[in-house]
Formats: sequence, structure tokens, C-alpha cells
Amino acid sequence: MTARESFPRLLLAEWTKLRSVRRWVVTLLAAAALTVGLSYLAASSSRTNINEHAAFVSGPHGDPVADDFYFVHQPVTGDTTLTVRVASLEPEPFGRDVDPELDRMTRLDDPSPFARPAAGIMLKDGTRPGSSYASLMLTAGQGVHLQWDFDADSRGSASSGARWLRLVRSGATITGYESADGTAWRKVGTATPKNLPSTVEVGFYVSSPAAVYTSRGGGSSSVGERPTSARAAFDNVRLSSEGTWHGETIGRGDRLGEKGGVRAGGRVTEAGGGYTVVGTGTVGPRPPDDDMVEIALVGVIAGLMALIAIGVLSATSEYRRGMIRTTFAATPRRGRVLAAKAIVLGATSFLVGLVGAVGSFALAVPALRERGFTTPAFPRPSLTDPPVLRALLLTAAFLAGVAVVGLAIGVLLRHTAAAITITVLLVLGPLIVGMILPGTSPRWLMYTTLAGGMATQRAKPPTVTLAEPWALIGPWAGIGAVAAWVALTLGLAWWQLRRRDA
Amino acid sequence: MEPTIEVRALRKRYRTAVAVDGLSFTVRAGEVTGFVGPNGAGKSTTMRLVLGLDTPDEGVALVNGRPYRSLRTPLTQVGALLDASALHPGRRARDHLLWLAHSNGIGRRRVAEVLDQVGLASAARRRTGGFSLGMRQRLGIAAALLGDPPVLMFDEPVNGLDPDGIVWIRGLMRSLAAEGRAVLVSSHLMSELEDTADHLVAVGRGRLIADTSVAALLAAASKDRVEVTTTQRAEATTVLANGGATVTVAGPDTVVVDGLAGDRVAALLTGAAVPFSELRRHRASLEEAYMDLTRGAIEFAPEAGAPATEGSVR
Repeated sequence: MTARESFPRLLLAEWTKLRSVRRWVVTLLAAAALTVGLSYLAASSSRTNINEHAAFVSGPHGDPVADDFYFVHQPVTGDTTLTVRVASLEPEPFGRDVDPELDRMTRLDDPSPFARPAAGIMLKDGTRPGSSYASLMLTAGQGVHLQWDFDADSRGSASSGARWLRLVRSGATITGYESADGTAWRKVGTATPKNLPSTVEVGFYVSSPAAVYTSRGGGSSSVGERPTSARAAFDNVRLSSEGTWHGETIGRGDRLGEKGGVRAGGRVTEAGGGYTVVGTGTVGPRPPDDDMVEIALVGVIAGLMALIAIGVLSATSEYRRGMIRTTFAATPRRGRVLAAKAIVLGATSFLVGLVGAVGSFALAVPALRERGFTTPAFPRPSLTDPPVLRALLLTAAFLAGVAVVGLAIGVLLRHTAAAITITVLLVLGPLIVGMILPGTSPRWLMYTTLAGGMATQRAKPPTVTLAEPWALIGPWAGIGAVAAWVALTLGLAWWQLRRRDA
Repeated sequence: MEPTIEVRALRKRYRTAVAVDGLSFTVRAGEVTGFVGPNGAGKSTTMRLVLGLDTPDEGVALVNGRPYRSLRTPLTQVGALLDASALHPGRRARDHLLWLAHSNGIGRRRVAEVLDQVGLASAARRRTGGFSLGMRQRLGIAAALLGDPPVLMFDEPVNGLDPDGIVWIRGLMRSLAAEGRAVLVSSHLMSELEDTADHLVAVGRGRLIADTSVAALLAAASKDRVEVTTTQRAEATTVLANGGATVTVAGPDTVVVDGLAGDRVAALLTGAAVPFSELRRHRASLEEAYMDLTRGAIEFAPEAGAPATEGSVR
């Protein structure tokens, strides 16, 4: 008889075991169906009116953006050059409408270069909020930046004092220069806004993003904003053409007016050839904290439970009836058996998870779009967007990882009910505790437990403004925590298998 | 090399109880070796140690000269039936054998062959949850035969088989041995091994009691005994016991006489006018022979259940 042992054949043996128990096949299919079904049901019963009450506008690429600032401008046709000196940039006192101390909220420190008070010069495709632009600015604390179309940023010097700025339009490209003295110029970068008609609005501006305060914990989260204002002095304003400057608030400068009796917006005053401008608002990306991909994948938790059961059973069902002896008599090298089981279970769970995640996305997204999740706040997510693709693939990997942890715990405990309970608790326990713990304190819990794997469902960057604790960490950190648990539990299982009698 | 199972000074202790205590024996090729002893004597433990499933505290178990755990395709070296119920009830008989075949790189054609060989061809596509114990035994035997191994071990294979099945398995074991394979069959009932085993390894409380050929054992046990059939059993017993014999009742009108030659028995009974219809040389059953052999070991050993009742005494 020709018999040859090889690892691929061992994989085939374990696959034969998995596929030949009808109940398991049904459970695997049910895992995918449950995921899709629950996701669709949840999407069908959710609703948002975010576009009705918040200041979202669509940017040139269709993404939600904020476009609020005070602009002193005039129309210019064709190529042009604007030079100014920003003599100073200071915060302007502003009436308060939120008392963070009283509300037990903490200020959100946003390191983004779009989240700084700024004074600078701009070329913009008209004054409609959300239209294309390129701007060169001095920011408070982050030096000089060249930005365009709400998401592109190129960094200049780290200078914080008075600064000379110059924008040169040549056809479709805009080049930014900066200088300390108005004679020695240094190039900051080149901007290529998407829409740049021959006539654009050119001028100088001031923006000052609202301070964001958040509070999360006890199962909920809240976000408050306090508008801020900045004052800048401009002099040596030189434009290559003649015209009249016109000051104007761009965007919904009064959006917070009702709450605190504040009129945001701004003003300009001229004195001795120089201009003092007061402005408020943000020019930059403004994604809502909610993540449509994550919302579309709500059903993953149901699929997870089914896959945990399969993972645990693939180990404990062998112990329950003594079949593990047949297995180890056939393959005395137990580590290889464990590896083969883990690979077969992991690959199968990954595929089931991927079907569930893609199916959820395909069904839940259209349902969500009928229920308020539309532009400008929520552009239509596409399967081919890298963050969406990443979320779907990593979610499948998360499901596979937890199933393998279930297998390892099944090997360790040799008892179905106990192993399922413990594996479920390893996921849900930290989630519940993390929901209740306040502020960013659950972050360490997410970095170190299986619950962190839930972060794989997010297509957006981490945020502290949501109740779900896994939003505190990024998807790669989440899958890293899951991988660590897989390695730890498989290692323990392997050690036990070698040590114990079968 | 000749196919063998070799056990040397094997010792295995579980928590409080010693299951196997310095056991040594060899299972030779071309023979059916019976592995007998009461329940709890350490037979199954020994088999698990041979298969590398449990680790011995001392001693070694070798299969064809090598430790089992060093074998790469063990199913082609040793076929074993340990526990016929070690099956997933939701799996078809054919799939159970198929994964085993894959794990050792055995072709899938062999699955159909062994199913046919054990008479389960028609049940190949049925899920084992619906199998009778006898069918599960047959499937376990099919699994043991899968790799066409030169060494076979069966733990209590007759359990649950119907009379046809018992005849079949005896024939199977005889033919496996006749093909030159080494066959080890355990049983707690000697009668099951009658007419099957060539050699006997008897164990009690984990220790070796006897390692002997069946023919020699039977000859020794039958020696000098006479069986008498009489309608007056009580009188016959008295007369023969007075004559210096040990008399054992063997039936409603049968006694077995030990210690007196046949003609002397006839003379005594005739002299005392006790009628008897038959007087013949006693042929011991394997059962009897075994009881003689193990009398010493069993007397102090109410094996089954003893460790379980110890708890309250401690």
C-alpha cells in the first residue's frame, strides 16, 4: 500500500471532518445568513436626520466637509498673484455657550492641520460652501500650510511669528510661497484643486474651528461644540490686478447662534492700508463620527456567536466521544493536528465571515440610504474604497480569529458549554465593561482583549465621540489584539496537548 | 522485521490508582494473542500506552520495534479498535473512514474496500448516529484495517455483536493471523477467546499473571481430572471425598473429581454401589483453566469499583 503523510493531506483530513457533519455545515451557512439578516434588519429600523441639523456640505469629491470662515475677496480672471503679510494671529474672546467643567466633558484634542485657527490667503471657485479652493495659511501653533479641496495638505515652515505669504495661479495649478521678510521666498508646494474656472474669488481669510467637548461612558456618548474666534492683522496686501475688497461670511456662520446667543461669523476693518479680520469656523474635512460601514455590519455579532460554537465544537466534540484518540492514533504529532484544525477552521470561518460581511454591506447600505444616511454627511460607500475593503476583510479575519480562539479553548477545557461561555465572555465582557467605563479609559481594554477586534468593522479613523468602546482604537490595533489572543490560546492548547494524556 | 507489539516494564499511574504495574509481554506475528483480565485490570490502559495516547511513567511500548509516536503513517503499521463509540453521530460511515484515510495518505479506494470487508457497504452513506453497537464495532474494525497494517489491536471487539457477528470476527482474527499479522485481542471473558487465541496474556491489577500458549494451559488444567455423570450426586461426592479426592459439582448430575485416577473412581463408586452412567476424562474449558490460573490473583482483588469506594475511608 502506498501511504504518504503530508501536512496538506492532514488539512484535507480535517476539512473532511468539518464538512461531513451536516449540523456544522448548516451552522456555518447560518452564521453568514444571520450576519446578513441581522445587519439588514438593524439597517431597516435605523434612521438619522443628521443632514437636517448639522452643517455638512459636500466637498468637491463628494465627502462631507466644513466650509465656514470669513473671506475678504474679489473676483480675478486668469493667472494672478496675491501677496500678503500676516502680521499677527490671536484668539478673539468669544461668549461661552458650553461649560465643559459643568457638563463633565473633556476637550477633544484634534491634531489635524485642518483643526487649527488659521489666517491666510485663498483662491476659491466662488463663495458657495464646499466649492474647490487652495489656501496658504499661517496656523496657530502648526506653522505654515498649503491646503486645497478640504483634504490635501502640504506643510511649510514651522514659523509662528509674522509671515509673508504668496499664491501664484498659473492655469490649473496654484503655487504657494512663504517668506520671513518679503524678499527671500521659499516654495511651500503646489496645489491642484479639482475645479478652477477662469474667474475665481481671490483674497485673505480667517478661520477658527470650534472647540469640541466630549463625554462617553455609561453606555452613551455626547459631543458639544464651543465656537471660537480668531483675529488676524494683514498688511502689504498686493494683488496683480485692480479691484475692490469685499468682506463676507462663508458658510453657516450663525449655526450655533440659537444656543448661546452667539453670532459667529466675522468682520473686517481697514486702517492705514492694513486689514484686521475676525473670523470663525472650520475649513476642512468634517466626517460625522458615525461610520456607515460599521452600522451596516451590526449583524457580525450574531455570526460571531455561531462561529464560536463551531470553533469550540470542532475540538470538544472529539473529546466528548473519545474520537480524539482516533485522531491522535492516526497522527501522533499532536501539534500538527492542532495546526491543521486551526488552519481549516480559520480559513472556513474567514470565508463565511467574508460572505456575511459583504452580504451585510450589500443589503444594509441601500437600506440605510433610504433612511437618512445620505449626502452630504454620508457619501455612498463603495466596495472598492480601500477603507471599506479593509473593514470587510479585517472583519472576516476577526471572525476567523475568534473561532480559532474558541477551538483552542475547547482543547484546553474539553467541555463544550464551558468553552463556549468563556469564549463569548472574552468578547462580550470587555465590550460591556468598555461601554460603561468613562472617557478614553476603555482604550487599554480594547488593545488587550478580543473585544478590540470589533474595531475591524470601522472604515473611519478612531474617535472618542462614540459610545462603542472599540471606536477608540484603529482596525489594525484591533486585529492585532485578536492575533495575540490566537497565538496565546493556541500556544497554551499546544502545550497542554503535549503534556496531557489524550 | 517481524510485526510485533513489545511491552517492557510498563507502568502507569493515574492519580491514586496504579493502572499498569510493571507489565512486560510480546505479541508475535502469525498468532492471535488473547489479552485477558477482569474489568479494570489495565488492558485498555496498556493499549492506550502502546498507541502513544497516554504517556507511561516507566517502561516502553514498541510497535514493530519503534515507539508509536515516531511513526509517520501509523495506520499502515498498527490498526486499532479501542472504543467503537468514538464516532461523531452526525458523520457518515464513509466520511469517518475518509478523513482517517486522508490523515495517513491512504487512497480513498481503500475506504470502499474495508467497508465491504466488514459488511457495511450498504450502510456506507448512513450517519453513524443510527448505527447499532454491532455496526459501530464493524466500522471500528474497518478503521483498523484501513491501512492494511501488519499489527492489529482490538479492545473487546465482540461487545454488542450478534451471534453471526461473533462467528465472523473470530474467523476474521484467525485469517488475519494466518496472513502473518500480529493480532492482540482483549476480553474480560475467557470463553470469547476459546477457539480463537493461540496465546494468552493474562493480567490482574495491572500485573502479568500468565503469558502462555493456550494449548499448554488447557493441557495443564485438564490433567488428572475425571468427570462422572450420576443420578446420586450427593452419595457419589461423599464416597469420592472419603477416598481422598477433591470433588466439584459441575452440573445437576455431574461432578468433577480431582486427585484420583479414572479406574480408582470407578472402583470406589462400584464398591459403594453408587450407580453412574458415564465416566470420562475431564476436558477443561479455557474459562476453567483461567480461573485456576488466576485464583490467587483474584482472591485479594475485587477489582471493579474498588478505587471508587475508597474516598470515604481516606
